Amino acid sequence: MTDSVQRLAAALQKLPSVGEKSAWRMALHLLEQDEAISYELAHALVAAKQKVRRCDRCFTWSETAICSVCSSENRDTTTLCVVEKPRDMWVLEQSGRYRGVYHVLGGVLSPMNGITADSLTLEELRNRISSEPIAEVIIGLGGSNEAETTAHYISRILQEFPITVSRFARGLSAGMDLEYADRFTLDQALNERRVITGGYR
Amino acid sequence: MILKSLSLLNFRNYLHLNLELPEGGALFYGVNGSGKTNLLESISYVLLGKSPRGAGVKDLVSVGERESFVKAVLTSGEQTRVQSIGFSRDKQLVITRDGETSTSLRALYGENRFVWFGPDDIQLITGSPEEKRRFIDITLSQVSPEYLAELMRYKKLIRERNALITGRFDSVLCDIYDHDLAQSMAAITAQRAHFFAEISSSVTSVYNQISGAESDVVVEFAPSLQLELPDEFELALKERRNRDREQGFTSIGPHRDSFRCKKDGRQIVGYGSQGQCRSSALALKIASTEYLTRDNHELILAVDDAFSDLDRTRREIFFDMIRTKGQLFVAVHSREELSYYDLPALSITQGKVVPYELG
Repeated sequence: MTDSVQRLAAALQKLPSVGEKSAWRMALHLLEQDEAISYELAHALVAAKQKVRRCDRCFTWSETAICSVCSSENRDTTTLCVVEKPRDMWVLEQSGRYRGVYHVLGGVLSPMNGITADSLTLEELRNRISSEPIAEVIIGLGGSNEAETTAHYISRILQEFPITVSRFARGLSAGMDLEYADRFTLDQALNERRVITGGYR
Repeated sequence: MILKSLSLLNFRNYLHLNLELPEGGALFYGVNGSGKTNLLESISYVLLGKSPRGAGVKDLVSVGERESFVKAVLTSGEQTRVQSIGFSRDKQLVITRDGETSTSLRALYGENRFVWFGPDDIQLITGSPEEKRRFIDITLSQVSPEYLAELMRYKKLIRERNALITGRFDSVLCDIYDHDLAQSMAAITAQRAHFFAEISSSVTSVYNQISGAESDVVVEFAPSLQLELPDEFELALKERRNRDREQGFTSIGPHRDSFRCKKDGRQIVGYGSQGQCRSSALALKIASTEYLTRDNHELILAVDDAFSDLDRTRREIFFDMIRTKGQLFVAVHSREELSYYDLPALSITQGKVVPYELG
């Protein structure tokens, strides 16, 4: 094999979920295609890397200093949802239900993986709460132990603000059959149950 | 459940083996190095995902191969379950149970009950607290997958807390870890204490049966913290925080628990004879078989050279004790032993297994 193909395969292999075999398949596929496809890919890559930056306010990826969600006039700026990464924000955006704004943390706390409070955008979150009209912070983190710890941590450091802090509900997922739920999920579903009709007794 | 058959691929010296196993168990007979222990080890591996010899995957995969696979067909009454574990030198792991795949060892735990008797059992008396905790954990995890889940959560939290106190310190985060750890510590300590309370009288009575005399051999749980409530554990952690930061690790908690065997009020280690140490270790193991089967699960036992430093009378007493506990597999070195273990024999030579023919 030529050096150039080897270099290309090695570069592709650095991408997530790409192993040696896939990297070679992609490299050889690109060689067989029209040159225009390679140029398109190369340009798209460089352009994205040059144009895309962090939003100054919420830290998601954006081509402008303030992202389209933060600069929109149709968002409810009193509600802020804290997410781990831009991808989570996009998933919520796709659902179309959430009308508030976001704050991207950049990870979840795990000292053994070198992720401490100052490597996340927590200080920026506090600054935003001080300066923006935020009344509720929704913690929209996942269900891992690290995410739980981080949720707990955020609620602690936001205690000083006169705001509501809430978190996503946990338990049964939509369409899930009870018999397939594990004990932990059932425990959570029971703990976080919601009243449908309140009684007086 | 009991083992109906076992299939091995590239496991130690077994490149390919399919083996039907008798309901009551079997004797594996062969010369040294033929693969008796390896076969017993594969049973432990497919049932618990662990090598009782503490071997890592690199030792388990046959020389020159990359991946190994062990499959077991298990039955209980009408029920049949197929369970397998595949693993590679680069530490990939795939577990399947009736077609469902998982990459966590936890998937193996719940229905199987397995106990290993081996030469290292004596470490339960003479060994480090770490060896002792391994025995507690492997027993409790089988009976209670919730215990295993809690233990894994606990170990992870300890690693996080240790990283926090040695790195850039954050007291808010440490408060959260201490709170979560305290819940976990209380749960683990309670389960361990309950375990020792359950087995202690049977350890004494098994020991007496072996020694043929009335003695007061007892096993005592020696927890790092003699506490019960999560709040108490949390307070203890907070009190230790500064010292832990100086030392660079969390110095209290279930990861420092141990237990002691005593005779006449004195610790057997350092005071009892080798035979007494061996007998008390075996008494603990046998008591654990009762704990493992208390919810009427069938037990699988593997015995590898566990009684060698006992005299023949005691060996026979032990064999009688475990004979009725479940499906029993014993590695046998001599023809003499073949005669006094009343089980069908399989002859092992160089990774091949055939029924043993007298002659």
